[in-house]
Amino acid sequence: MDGELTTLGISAAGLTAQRTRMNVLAENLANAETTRSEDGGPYQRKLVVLGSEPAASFGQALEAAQGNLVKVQEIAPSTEPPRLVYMPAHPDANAEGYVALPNINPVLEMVDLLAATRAYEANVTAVQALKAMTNKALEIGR
Amino acid sequence: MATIFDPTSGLLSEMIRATAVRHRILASNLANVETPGYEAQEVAFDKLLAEAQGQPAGRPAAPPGIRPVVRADPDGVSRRDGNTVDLDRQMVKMAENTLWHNGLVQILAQRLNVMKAAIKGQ
Repeated sequence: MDGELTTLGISAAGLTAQRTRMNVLAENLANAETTRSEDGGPYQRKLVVLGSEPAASFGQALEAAQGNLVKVQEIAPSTEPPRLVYMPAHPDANAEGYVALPNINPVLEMVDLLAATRAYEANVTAVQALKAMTNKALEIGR
Repeated sequence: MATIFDPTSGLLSEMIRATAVRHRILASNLANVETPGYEAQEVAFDKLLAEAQGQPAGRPAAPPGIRPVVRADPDGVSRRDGNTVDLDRQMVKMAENTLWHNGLVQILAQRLNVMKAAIKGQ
């Protein structure tokens, strides 16, 4: 049974990572025009950094057929500079009349959101396939 | 190992185990479909089957042990972020693997039912 649980864990890690990504993308989209963030200045676009690591403990790792979990390594701020838009009447405009808006392109965020959704769905399919296989195996000897 | 189970049943259960390992590796590839630098893996399954079939005809003395071999996916195409997982190909492989698994389970269950009938003297 341990094998099934590990496999389920791999798919669950994939679901968690993609959902985290979707949350961060939603936050970016919601704050696309935010000029006053918690740490002052315009909102900074956030990026999710994914990494993989072996799914099994050291003992099992010797078996080599362990698979790899995906983990959110970091949610890092983007290094892109803010967009400067000429809006002299805006309360946050600088001396030249420009307002620093977040470095967010909604189109990019939407494309990323689509990719995250597809990856999430792929993991859901993997879970469903595992459930079908396990149920089928339980029929042995019935 | 002397059991009431014939070598074929042993081979079947080993192959079912191999499909489970293969599913895990496919799930791992799918989980890492957006991980930069991740290299897609595959379980050498068809090769295992061919090797098992290459056993001498008739009844082998012991079921040939199948050890699933995990290797880098030779069909993987590297994207710009170094990831080599092809989502569509992985989904097809997973569907194929599930069919394999269910088919093998069905055959094994059938064999056990035959044995059950023999034991009961039906």
